[in-house]
Amino acid sequence: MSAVIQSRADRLTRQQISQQVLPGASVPWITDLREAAFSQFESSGFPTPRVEDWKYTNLKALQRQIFRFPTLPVIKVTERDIGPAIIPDLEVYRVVFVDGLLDERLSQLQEIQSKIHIASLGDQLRTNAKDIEPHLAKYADSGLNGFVSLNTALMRDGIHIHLPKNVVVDKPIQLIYITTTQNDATWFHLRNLIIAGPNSQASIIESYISLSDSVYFNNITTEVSLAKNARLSHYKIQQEATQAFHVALLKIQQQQSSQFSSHSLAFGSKYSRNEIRSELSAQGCECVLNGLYHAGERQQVDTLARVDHLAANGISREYYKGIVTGKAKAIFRGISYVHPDAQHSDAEQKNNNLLLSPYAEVDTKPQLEIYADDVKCSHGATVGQLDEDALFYLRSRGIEKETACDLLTYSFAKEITDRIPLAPFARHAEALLKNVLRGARNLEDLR
Amino acid sequence: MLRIKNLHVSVDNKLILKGLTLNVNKGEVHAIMGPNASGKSTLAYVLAGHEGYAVESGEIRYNEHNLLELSPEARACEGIFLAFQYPVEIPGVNNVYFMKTAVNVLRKKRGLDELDAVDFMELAKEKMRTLEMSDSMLKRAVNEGFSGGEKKRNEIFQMSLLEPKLALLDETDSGLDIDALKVVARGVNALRNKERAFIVITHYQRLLNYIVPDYVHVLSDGKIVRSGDRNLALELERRGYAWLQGEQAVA
Ligand SMILES: Nc1ncnc2c1ncn2[C@@H]1O[C@H](COP(=O)(O)OP(=O)(O)OP(=O)(O)O)[C@@H](O)[C@H]1O
Ligand SMILES: [Mg+2]
Repeated sequence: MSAVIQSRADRLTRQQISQQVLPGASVPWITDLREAAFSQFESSGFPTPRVEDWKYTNLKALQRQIFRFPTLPVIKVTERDIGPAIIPDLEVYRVVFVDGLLDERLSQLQEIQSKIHIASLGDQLRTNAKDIEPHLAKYADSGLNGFVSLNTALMRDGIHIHLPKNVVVDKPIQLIYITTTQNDATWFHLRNLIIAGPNSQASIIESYISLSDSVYFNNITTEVSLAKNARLSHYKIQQEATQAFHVALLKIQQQQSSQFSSHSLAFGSKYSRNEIRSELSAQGCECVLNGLYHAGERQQVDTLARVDHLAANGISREYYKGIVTGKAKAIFRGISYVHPDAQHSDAEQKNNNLLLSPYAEVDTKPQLEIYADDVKCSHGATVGQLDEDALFYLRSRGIEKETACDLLTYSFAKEITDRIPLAPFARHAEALLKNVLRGARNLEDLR
Repeated sequence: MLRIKNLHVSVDNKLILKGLTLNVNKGEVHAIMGPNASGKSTLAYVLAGHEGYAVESGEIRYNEHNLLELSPEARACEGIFLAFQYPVEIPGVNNVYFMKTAVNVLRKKRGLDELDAVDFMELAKEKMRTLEMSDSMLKRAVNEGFSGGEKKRNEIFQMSLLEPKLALLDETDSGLDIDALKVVARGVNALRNKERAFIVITHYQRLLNYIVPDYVHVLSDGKIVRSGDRNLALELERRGYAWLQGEQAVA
């Protein structure tokens, strides 16, 4: 086993990396890929505010942090530990990652392996890399930003799913990522690769939870490819620990008439970034991105949602709502990019934010870029406070101020949870939100 | 039960109520009439505790309380109810959930057991029947997309559930058709008893044919300029308000 190696995030060296045992080390194309990606990281570093997509983001705390490379988990995670990720009344195929590595013991891989190809990405790189060579790093450009470069250079594990043609997976596949590290700040470069064959259908849930109250950093890159007529619903609940950093890129490439939807909830982390980029590469694709974020205290929550309409007759929706309180900061950037060949595109973008404290901040920038002439596009963003008249109306019926505020905040968010088609997930989301609101309020009271 | 003395109230630094005095006893029905912008809704809001209305001077006693010290929700718990002139739409908040919460807050305050969902629905449906409202309104968000008349009826529905001690009806009759007016008046009359007082703000004497007041007051330019019995309302119907404003100028 290699010695424990630590590095300041922005001063990682090639030498430190060479001491890591990473899967696929004997496969030339993988080592080449890692090498090239690390060179990209060396020249670009982490994104700065000069880069438009990171303009309002403050990454100083992350860059200054010294991170340790993961060792094997010390704590033996039990069924009880993953309880917070369990969604009531929902049957799933469960896959659990503990500190960045797939845990066979807690996972139910065999149950679905008869229907689809599903494996740890680490195993795949070690034993059967050639099957993923046409896909890995083909959808998410490792030069996109420093996080993706670093992820490509250092990826160790994650999930690889390949849905064969025409297969419909009967239950959602839930990926639970649990972090247990205690003292030292550790970073994890998780990589997921999901390939959906023609006419296939599946739902995938990503849940991020933690037993840790120390600093750690989950750097996640997920690549998704949807073949003709494939349908994928992607759900995500981010409930990382309060000291955690969470940076995730979800890159989707859609082929003809495929449908992708994302329903994401960002509640945890000190700093989180949820970046989704979808390319509608062929005719008639549909992409719905629906999300809710809440930030309190000094949390920073950052969302970027971009859909590129590259071919005709595509439909895209971006619906994001945020609740920001304490001294928190929320950043939203939405981009609907309609390329010259994408006639009859239909793109809609909405971002609404609720500011519950005078010290909280929201930077929202919805954007349309349209280079085709026959399209239907709209966008809008708001930052507002609770409606005073509604608040008074509720209070005049005897409902206490705090309850009335929660009720209005909750109803603000409900538009997002109402759009979630998987009912148990929607109910779970609502219950989590209630807890988050209650927790945030109690903290406010203490100040 | 309610003693308002020399009340001065301003909104956005503009003085609206300019020395209003009014006493209301248990069991009484007071009608307040008066020209637009004279301050009728302002009075109703101040009584309900709206924080946008600043009390510059004067006092309001309600039973043993200094009313001005109570939050809006505390006033509701003490039995004050305002039927809004413009009921607020609250998208995303379900009518049943809202009223069940409100009813249970008050029941708790009054030392009664909270109602469960089944008992509440039974009670709600019974009240809706008397107000000839359709059950479907319960399932909708509070006032969202309700017609003007439906909103007013919903206010009276809430009142009948909350059983206040002092009900303030701010132009509940405006926007109601003739049949609805009768239904709403019936709802109000059903609640009239020796303990409960009403302040009914209206522009139309017609409502007072159905809800017969004990007193009629004219509010003009922030003051009560004339009080009388129900015949005053009839006189106002004939002559308008101009003669009173003239009289005040002379006085
Ligand atoms: N929030 C506010 N901001 C500014 N001015 C206000 C506000 N609320 C009331 N006013 C003003 O106070 C005055 C009295 O208003 P109020 O609503 O009490 O009148 P009213 O007698 O109820 O009239 P109406 O018969 O038209 O309902 C009006 O000039 C109104 O514009
Ligand atoms: Mg009025």
